[in-house]
Amino acid sequence: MLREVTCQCGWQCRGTLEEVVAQVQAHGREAHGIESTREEILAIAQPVEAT
Amino acid sequence: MSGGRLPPPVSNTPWSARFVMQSLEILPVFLRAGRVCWLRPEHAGSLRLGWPASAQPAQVVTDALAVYGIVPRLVHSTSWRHEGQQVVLTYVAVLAAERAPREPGGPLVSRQLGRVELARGDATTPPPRIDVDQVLEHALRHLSWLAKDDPVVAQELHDWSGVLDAYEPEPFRSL
Repeated sequence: MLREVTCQCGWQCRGTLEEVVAQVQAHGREAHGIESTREEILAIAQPVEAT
Repeated sequence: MSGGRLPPPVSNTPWSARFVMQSLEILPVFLRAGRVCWLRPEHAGSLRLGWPASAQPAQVVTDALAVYGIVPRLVHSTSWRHEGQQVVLTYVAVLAAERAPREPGGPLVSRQLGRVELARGDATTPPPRIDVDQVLEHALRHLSWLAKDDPVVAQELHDWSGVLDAYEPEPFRSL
């Protein structure tokens, strides 16, 4: 199942759970100076139906 | 939004192909030094949200703005358009000038609004392309019309009259 995260800044990512975790951590670090844990990202990643 | 903890997402509704009408667009506007400014996410063309089937759209709009710490003084649906595989329903949200977010730091960025030509289609077909600036132009014309037609809007926008007089009044419509 794919997951999706939309940041408050409008940045979006979609992918497998591991892909989303990696992308969100990189975006948070580079764009906002935020370090996020896998658990924090799991809590906000929304499941997306494959199309 | 920097150096802290991971903030909550602006929406908990993922994109889904199972819904036709799914997207809400919010265009927050406010006055600064007598000019209209609008807000968009730093990394997106406009603020877009999924629209849960069970939710009232105006409530989705106000809930999303609350994520940014914004309490609007007026929200109003102003136009719709077909884009990709979905219908986008646009809400204009008027903010009190003193409550508009200050830059820099995001996640919303502001820009002063200029005047543009509206996107116009043929008699039976929509415009081939619609830019957010054109949606905003229509939204301001819509507010200009409401300020003359709707007493509640007129009261809420009493300090906008000088600005809105420059816009040709126009009601809700598809773009």
